[in-house]
Amino acid sequence: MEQNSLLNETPERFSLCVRVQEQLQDYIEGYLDSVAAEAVRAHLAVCGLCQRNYRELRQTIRLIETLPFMSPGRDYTAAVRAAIAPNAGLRWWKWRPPLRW
Amino acid sequence: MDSMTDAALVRRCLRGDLNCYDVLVRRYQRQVYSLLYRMLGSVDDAEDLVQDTFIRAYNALHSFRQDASFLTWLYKIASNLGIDRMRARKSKAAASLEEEIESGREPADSERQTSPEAAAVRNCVSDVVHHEIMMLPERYRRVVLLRHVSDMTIEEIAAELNLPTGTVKTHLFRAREMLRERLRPVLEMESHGTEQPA
Repeated sequence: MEQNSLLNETPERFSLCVRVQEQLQDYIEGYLDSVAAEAVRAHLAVCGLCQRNYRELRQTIRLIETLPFMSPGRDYTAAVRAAIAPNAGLRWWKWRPPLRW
Repeated sequence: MDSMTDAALVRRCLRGDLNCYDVLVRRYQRQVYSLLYRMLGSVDDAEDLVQDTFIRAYNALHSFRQDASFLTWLYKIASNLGIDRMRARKSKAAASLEEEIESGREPADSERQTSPEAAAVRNCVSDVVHHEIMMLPERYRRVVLLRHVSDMTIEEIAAELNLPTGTVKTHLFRAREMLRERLRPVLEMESHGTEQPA
């Protein structure tokens, strides 16, 4: 299976894969400097396993970001309006000083 | 009025036209509700805070800078309210729940109502994704939502949660790894779908 293919890699390639996989999230967030980012890009171009992990992470993020919106049980327009209307209606020309006797 | 841009509606709200604020509430209540429900995992809390979010936003409307989108700005207000509610709940929670949250322990198998595979058969992909997000430990879930739904930067999240940036990164990265693992059947299904020749 492809999942176990890392075990078949040479030790050099294996350690490179491990390093790249540790850096993938920083790479996605743009936290790597240009040299490190270029090294990750170069490795992804030739390593199917790391490429798959990278693709899955990107897909996961896309799935989170594109989750559909849920409908609340009610419409909030009236409740919000009722709560803000007293403030909105408070205009300086409506203000009266408190009566004193 | 429904076709007006957010910026135009906000300008008219600031001049006292409340009908324009009604349009903004109708336009974004689903988005705000979805974020809060997914953060808090409770319909009651989410419904409570949707209203508070729009009231708070109205009272701060003069401070809205039009360089960000109105929805992003709303999300920040909703996120802050959600974080406050989580803190309040934590302080009230029973010791066992507190331990669960702090240890980041995953819900027991019995709490996982369906496996991703089974859910994938019955429901659409988004239901599975939603389900798996809800199953994340709270500290991971809130960070992933703040980053990918509220679109906050890691630094902004760290400031809001009073956590070191490194901790936020760790939580975010672990959350994404957990989701990647749990969503593998969905990801594979999607990959096969996209790999098929046109």
